[in-house]
Amino acid sequence: MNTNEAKLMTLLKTVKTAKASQLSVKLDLSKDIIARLAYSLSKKGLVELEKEETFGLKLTNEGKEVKKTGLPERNLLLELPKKPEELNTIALNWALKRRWAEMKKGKVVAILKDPPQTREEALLDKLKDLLPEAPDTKLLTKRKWIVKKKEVDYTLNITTSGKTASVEEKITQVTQNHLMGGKWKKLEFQTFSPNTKVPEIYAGRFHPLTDTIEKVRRVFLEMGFTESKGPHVTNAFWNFDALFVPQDHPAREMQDTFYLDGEDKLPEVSKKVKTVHEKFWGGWDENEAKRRLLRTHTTARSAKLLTEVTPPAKVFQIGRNFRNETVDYKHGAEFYQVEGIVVDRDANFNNLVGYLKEFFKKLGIPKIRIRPGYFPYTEMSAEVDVWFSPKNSWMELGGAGIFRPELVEPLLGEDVPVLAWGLGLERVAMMNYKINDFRKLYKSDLKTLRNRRSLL
Amino acid sequence: MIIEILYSELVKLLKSKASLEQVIENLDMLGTPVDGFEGDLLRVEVFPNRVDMLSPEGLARALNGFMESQSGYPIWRTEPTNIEVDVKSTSRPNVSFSVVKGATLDEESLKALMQMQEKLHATVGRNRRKFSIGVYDLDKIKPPFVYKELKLKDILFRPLEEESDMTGKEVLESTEKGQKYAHLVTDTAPVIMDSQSRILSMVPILNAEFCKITKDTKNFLIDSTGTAEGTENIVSIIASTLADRGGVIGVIFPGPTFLPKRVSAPLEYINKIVGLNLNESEYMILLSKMRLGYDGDVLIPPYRLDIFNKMDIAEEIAIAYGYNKFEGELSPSYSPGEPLVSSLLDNELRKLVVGMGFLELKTFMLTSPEILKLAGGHKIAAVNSKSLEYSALRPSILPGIFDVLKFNKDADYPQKVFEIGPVFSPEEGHNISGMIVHKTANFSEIKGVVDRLIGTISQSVEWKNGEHEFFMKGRTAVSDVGVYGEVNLSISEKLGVPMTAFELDLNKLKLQERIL
Repeated sequence: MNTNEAKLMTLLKTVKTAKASQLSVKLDLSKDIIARLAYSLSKKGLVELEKEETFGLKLTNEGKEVKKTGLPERNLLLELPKKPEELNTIALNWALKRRWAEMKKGKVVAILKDPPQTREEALLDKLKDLLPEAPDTKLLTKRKWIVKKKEVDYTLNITTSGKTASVEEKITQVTQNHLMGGKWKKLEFQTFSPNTKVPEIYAGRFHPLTDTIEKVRRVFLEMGFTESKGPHVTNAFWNFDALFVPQDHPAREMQDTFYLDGEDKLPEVSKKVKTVHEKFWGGWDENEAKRRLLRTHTTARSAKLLTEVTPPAKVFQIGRNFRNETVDYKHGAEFYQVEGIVVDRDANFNNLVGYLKEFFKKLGIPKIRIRPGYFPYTEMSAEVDVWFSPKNSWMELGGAGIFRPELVEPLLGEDVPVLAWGLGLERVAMMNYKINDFRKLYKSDLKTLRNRRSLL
Repeated sequence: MIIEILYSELVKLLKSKASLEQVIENLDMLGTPVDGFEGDLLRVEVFPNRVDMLSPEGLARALNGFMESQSGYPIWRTEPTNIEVDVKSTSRPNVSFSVVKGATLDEESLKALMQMQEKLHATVGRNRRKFSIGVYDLDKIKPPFVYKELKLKDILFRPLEEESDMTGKEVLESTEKGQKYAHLVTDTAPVIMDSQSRILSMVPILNAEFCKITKDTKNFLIDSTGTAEGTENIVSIIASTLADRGGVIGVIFPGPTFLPKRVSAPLEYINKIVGLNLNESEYMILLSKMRLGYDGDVLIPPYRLDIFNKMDIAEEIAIAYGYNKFEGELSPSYSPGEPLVSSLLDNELRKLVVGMGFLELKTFMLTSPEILKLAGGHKIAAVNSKSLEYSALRPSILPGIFDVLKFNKDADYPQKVFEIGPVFSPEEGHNISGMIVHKTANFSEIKGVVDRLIGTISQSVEWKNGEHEFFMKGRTAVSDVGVYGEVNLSISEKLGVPMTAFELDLNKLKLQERIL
């Protein structure tokens, strides 16, 4: 028996029966605690409980105000005479109805200065004695000064075994004091059940996308790739032109790409890119290339990297990208992309397949299918499907290819095969955490984030 | 681009029997993945480089090669014609013509031809600006033809599906296509006329009703006009589609000759870049699976718009060989994997904050100016967004976190959350922000958190009392690395629970490097 149980049983042994509400006052414990104690004692067979539902009366905020300041129609008399529109309508109507005031020459004037106490006022004064069923209460409920409220109370009756039960107090919380001089040896401690409900403990945790990013980073680092990142705000040159995307390509239109005000200076290499565009696409406008935008893919950074690296090089990026899309369960205006490139004079398509197989195997996806695809800046181009066993079907997860010579040559200065592949990170996270809606990943629902399962 | 065709139509055009599974598998591996199949309706995705496959005929032509039931350079019957076209100077100077005689259409193949034309307009045609196409019933018109520019008021004809004659101006104003494409012409437009001065087409807007094709049309005139070179390829795509329906191609000038284009793609190069070890015979067989010819050079049929050089041939070979048949091999060059220092810093801080019980959030960098008002007087970078909700780049992470917490009032307290990520003010920065919400959240507690963070990376930072829009006057600490304190009560009152917060600039935090 814990301290509170012992207190309650000691009292009950004397009085035999008591209401929970009375016990709450006598023991100075909250009604909730008394209810919990009563429940636990009844389970032990020491008390019997009788539930009682009663209706009590409770003053509303307006009721409290009236009790404090008096009847509105009584207070109104002090203001008279006045024009009716200057007065509170409800109070005025009551004053007229009670014949405490009347209209004279367009003005409200008082008939009585200090009218005798009304029934309502009397009722408010002795509210405690008022029974909820009494017909008089209607006078007050009608004016919304009081409301009826359900109240639950319990009567605790001590049982035969309760009368004889030992009320020896057992200790719940071990204190420093108990540990001094071996005091604890003489004390009895309350036992605890692992089946009781306790307050939740929440751990600080990484976001599921961070977990996924870290997993992918580890795979790339283990495969000998160097990490890189680029700015989120870049320009059309790096995002499109350097990647051999023609200036009239639909993806470059306003409705697909976020553009910002202002323009960037073009790098030296743009002269070579210009020549290629003019040769293949029949024209190139440098003002179009200068436009500032939010990158639509991490490949914007890969293009710039080609002007910086010496082959052989392996580089990866994991970064946020932006598309001016309407957000739905599959797409967001912002999303993460994972991208790896291999710049190697001897690299070939079979190597690309090798990297893809290794990459996905390490990511925990052993079964992949590579099929022809299309991207404006790769040739050969491939789509990567992964076998999604819960759905028993192939699921498109990434794109891959070898950068076109028309792209590589101007940036790198020579035509070297550049293997590249990318995939959407959210898709991987959604598969792992069994989330079916893109938006849920970014919704930041604390309950979901706190309770999500841990994965290896 | 997704096209819808009848599976039964496709099967009729195949030269060998194949099960549905085989057809789907082959379409996938040919680079035209099947998007869906229901009843008899097959939805196929055609990539923008293979616009010749936007029709059942084009798909079947490629598929027959890929499945080796009819491979090699496609052979059509061609014959010279004596049809002449007088090409004058116009606003769409590139123009090509061709005729196809004796092709047989029906309801379905006519529908497919229309679909192809429409998809060509949308893709390579760049909504008719770059290229547009016309197909006419040759038996209803009289050569020779003339292609010239006319003033809108001088154009008079009965357009497709219209009841009566209209002037050019009326076409632009009162027909659906006219309104849609009016921006492509000025006060003049090119027209194609026959020898009886009948207008066949007001280019690139609408054709005439009298010479429209039906399922009973046998002989066809095809044209393509455009602002860019390559109209003969567009005409070839339509002509080869009709030739596959039993037609004989008639060559007109200007127009495609139907002679192959030559690309030099030495086998040595192909083997190196694809990663195969083919001999010349194997090379030729794989080319013929892709309907390409070989005589030392690779011969490209005129309907292939996507093949320019040897790299493109390499892709043809890889597809013909079968993407799924490559074993895969890692390239032998060695390289060590190096993480970014900034990622290492992010992760150290992330672990520390998580250790103090904070839950990590990921919110969007684009947000609404309304939410950003909380952050005070930062300069905000705006973007041309479809919705106000994503129209400004965040200069601080705090308003976004606050927005998240507003939707989490029912989650148990204390709530401790943080986020690491880019901010734009408007130059790109990199911040960490956190927020604590519970009944007794106060300055001491958040100071404890920040002191622990800064202390752990052993940097000395001088904090002073300061002012910040997001924070409460008199309970705000500022320094060159950031800000912390109790949240401005005009903000926390929206949640109804005391809140504290911090935001630090990660570019200003320095972690000591390991010695070993």
